[in-house]
Amino acid sequence: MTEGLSISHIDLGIVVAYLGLMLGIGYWVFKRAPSFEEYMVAGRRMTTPILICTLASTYYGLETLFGTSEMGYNDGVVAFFGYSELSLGIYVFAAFALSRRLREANFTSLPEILERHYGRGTGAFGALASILYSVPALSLFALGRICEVVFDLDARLGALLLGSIALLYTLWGGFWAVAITDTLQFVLMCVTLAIGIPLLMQEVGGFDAVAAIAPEGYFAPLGGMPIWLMLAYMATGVSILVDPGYYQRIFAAGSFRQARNAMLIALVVWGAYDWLVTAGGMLASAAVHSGALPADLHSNDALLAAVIYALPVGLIGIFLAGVLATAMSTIDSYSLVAGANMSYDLYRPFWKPDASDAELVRLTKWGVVLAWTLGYAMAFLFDRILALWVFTATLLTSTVLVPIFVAIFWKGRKTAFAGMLSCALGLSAVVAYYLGIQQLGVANEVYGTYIWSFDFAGMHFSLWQEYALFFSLPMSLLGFLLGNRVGTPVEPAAREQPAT
Amino acid sequence: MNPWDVFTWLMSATLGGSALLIFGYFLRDLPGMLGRDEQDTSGGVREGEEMTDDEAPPR
Repeated sequence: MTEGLSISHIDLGIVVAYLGLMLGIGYWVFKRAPSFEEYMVAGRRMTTPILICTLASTYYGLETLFGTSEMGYNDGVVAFFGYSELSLGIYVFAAFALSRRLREANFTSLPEILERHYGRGTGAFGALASILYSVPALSLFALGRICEVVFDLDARLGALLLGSIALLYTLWGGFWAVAITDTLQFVLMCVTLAIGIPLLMQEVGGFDAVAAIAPEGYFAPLGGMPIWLMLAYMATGVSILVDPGYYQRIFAAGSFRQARNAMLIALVVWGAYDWLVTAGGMLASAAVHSGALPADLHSNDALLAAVIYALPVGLIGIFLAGVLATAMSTIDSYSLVAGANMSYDLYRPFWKPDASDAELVRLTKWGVVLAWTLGYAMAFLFDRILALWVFTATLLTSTVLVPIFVAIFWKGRKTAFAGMLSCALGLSAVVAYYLGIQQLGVANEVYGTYIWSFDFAGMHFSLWQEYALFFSLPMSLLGFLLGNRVGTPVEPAAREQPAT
Repeated sequence: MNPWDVFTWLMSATLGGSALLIFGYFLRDLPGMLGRDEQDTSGGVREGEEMTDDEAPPR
């Protein structure tokens, strides 16, 4: 176990007060979610400010805070320009192209889109992929790791204790509790980083000190990154186009304009956040070089250690609360999504189409507990938890992106078999690609992935596991085109109601 | 001052300032969002709602 960082009682008190506040909010909104629509999409009356907060804090978890800062620490500004910002174009597309169509169709969940357009079978495919993606294994693992590094607490125990708080307020208040706690967590995340990084910059002597010790290419915006790797990083942003948490927030908006504006404003927030996290990693490298931080500091812990080093007592507690908030806002949101997938997208269409609201809310709560428990078990069962998350994100995108986009944007013929075959081929292609690269390639410990290198027609190629989408999405499209030749088109009338 | 320092100060001001501004607007909206339950159930029109009856939720 890593020895914990030196944290004062005042800072610990602030962290405990933050945890108490989260529980208090959950209890406060306990009685405000009597119906399923209220519990799941907050009665569809959220305004732009709360949507910005819940979007920003949910989609940016600890993998951004520590993953991007680690890349900044090791590779410099490419973490910002080459890794984080390449996805912004996809987010702008999501804001303009998806908000109106999704919000005005009054969906409640992502799999429901598939169910309405292709029937229950395709909806079930979407629900299973969404559940796998939403199980909060990575966030619970990261929460445990923070407890270990900062509080010298066993990772499993830390994840159990703090993760349970997120579970409890989600069960009490549903999406209202998630969104309101997300809002406070958003403010903590942003304000503490906005204060901490300039203080760290002052402490280490600014970027002049970084430049003095930086290796070649540290300030090069694209840092010599291969084009295919850049495209693969950009492709990770594609997952927001089918992210069930993002969809849930669009469905919860009072109007499509509020959802679109929230997304556009969140982009500014994300951009600033990405830079500060990158800068934190780079400044931490200068702090290590100057001897202010230990030379054996793990690059993954660089940001955390550097900001704690720079902040005064009191602000450290707020920063740590912000770090915990980053994990908890992701755990609560995705547990709720997975729980609703189990009740609304699997139980209702297959077992009880006329399930009452009270029944759906009760089953969603059981689903939330199940998803959380599954996430906790997976967090400490698998060694490569980040790779597992990338796999589930790729799986979801490959399975549902094509049929969902066709459903949303194409008014022509669509058969039930087209939806099924598109999902099945997309999913199979990902699994086959991952297994194939694992068999043919070699494990790369630096990048935590498998890479298959080979020569063909006098040229050298390297296929990474992360390139799966380049193969699976065309397969999914092919499945749709072939399947659309079979069967009768789904009647427009049938699309207006969930298939039963 | 190093240009990256200036950029970092700008981004800090953007992030911190926008977070506080957004939080202020959230506090302004919160009573309305949570207190609108009764209005909704009595058939009141939602502020900012642009859908017609034809586009009402299927559930």
